[in-house]
Amino acid sequence: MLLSSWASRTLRRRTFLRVAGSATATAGLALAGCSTKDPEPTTTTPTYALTNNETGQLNYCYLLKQLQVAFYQKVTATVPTDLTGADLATVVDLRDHEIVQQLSLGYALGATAALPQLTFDFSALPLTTRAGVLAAAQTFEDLCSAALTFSVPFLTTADTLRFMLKIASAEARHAATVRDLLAPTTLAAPDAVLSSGGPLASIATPADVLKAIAPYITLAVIDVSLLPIA
Amino acid sequence: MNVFSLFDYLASVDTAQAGPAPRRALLRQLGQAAAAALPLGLLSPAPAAASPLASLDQLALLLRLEYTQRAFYTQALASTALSLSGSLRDDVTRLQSQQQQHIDFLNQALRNSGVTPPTPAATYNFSGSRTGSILFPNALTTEAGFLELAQQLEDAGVRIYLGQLSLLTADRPLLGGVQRLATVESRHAAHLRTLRRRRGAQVKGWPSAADLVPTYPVQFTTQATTPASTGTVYSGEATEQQFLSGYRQVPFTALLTGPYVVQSTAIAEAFDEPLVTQDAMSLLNIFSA
Repeated sequence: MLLSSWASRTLRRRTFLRVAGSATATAGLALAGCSTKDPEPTTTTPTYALTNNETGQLNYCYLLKQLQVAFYQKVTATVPTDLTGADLATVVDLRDHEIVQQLSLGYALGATAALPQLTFDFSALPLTTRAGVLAAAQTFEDLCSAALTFSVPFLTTADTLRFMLKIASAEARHAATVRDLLAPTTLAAPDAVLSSGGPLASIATPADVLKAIAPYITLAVIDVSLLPIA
Repeated sequence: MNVFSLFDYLASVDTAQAGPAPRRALLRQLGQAAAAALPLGLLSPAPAAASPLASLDQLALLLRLEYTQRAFYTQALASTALSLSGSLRDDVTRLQSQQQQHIDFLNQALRNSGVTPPTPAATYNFSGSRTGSILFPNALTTEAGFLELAQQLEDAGVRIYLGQLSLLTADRPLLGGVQRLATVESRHAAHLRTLRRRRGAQVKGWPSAADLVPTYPVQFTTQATTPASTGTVYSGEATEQQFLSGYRQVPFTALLTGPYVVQSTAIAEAFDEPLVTQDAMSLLNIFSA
């Protein structure tokens, strides 16, 4: 599969996602000489380079929503036995909000420009107890809130910005709500109100966010190096 | 200084044909654009550059909001009738100190633009009696009354920030900084709701049709309808209409099928809604001049 040239990209009026495949190093095996071993099958992991425009920025938000929807869908499909009542109802609410937001972003992007539906693997997370579920939920909500807080201000279309500000606000409420589910009811720790412990919310660059979530994305590599950071 | 008389004055100086340049010159005459370090090294990125005049009204309104919230927490902590103690007192102390740091940020942003920031009002009255009747009889006497008004003020703060943020686009670094304040406001609002829920109130972490309406609602005349009507902090939050660029409306019914079926309350809950400037001012006028 051809790799797009960087130079030609900038000449396009509208940039779309390009899927670049990369062959794994099977050349080494092919040069191994007269081996009786069967050659390894070639595998290609698609790379999605998010472009430095509104499409890329919305796809970044869309990616985060896909992650959270997949996470909450897994949790609500196999509910830990100690996650019940009001706590479970809250987790279902969180899932439903993320679904609404994911579908909205997919619609905003349109079928051509949107990332495909990715697959995620959360098997490394301990999701068999309430504590494990809420800890993972808090990690993702804090991370996505920091991501949106950092990235939403770069949107330049007024209506898109207005729309994403609403989602960023809802995400911050999610993060605080999950934190409160985990926090003991009698203590007010320094980070009880904010994960950052301070008056300015934490922010996270796309590179930092991808580093944190890439382990959970299967069969795809997301390149965020072009997204605005200043 | 009354913030709105400042801007009336600036508007009167600005001549119709002159455009933005003379206003900037006027602002530079009012004071040097300070390159001072921000308090506690909080800000990243720092609004070191002068902001366009267009940003200053928004910052002044947000500052007025933060002054109002700080005053409420200060009065609550000082109230012997309320007598806050234990973890609730710790929480309110932390909320108050974070509002103070937001005030510091906004003051610095205004000073960096060469403007003397507006000062707080002489008094803040949380009984609501400025309107002519006692709207919030228990705001500073019972824990439930205090928390109910605190929740509404924080939810209002979220909506006021949303309304002003989308007006700050002329100064992207400033928008980025103020967004971090807004995210904190949203966390505060959700946390207040948790505090009320732990004490038996039927509220979610976000405005919801499932919430019990406040016993003593914050009400103001809203310009959002014609003719003007009475709005609350939650007017418009139940909307299921979301618009994208190009006047496209998100077709929720068509989208949310199959594996994406959600509860009926979820569509409205998933989005926080802005409050327009005029409504923000009407709301804040309840509590101070």
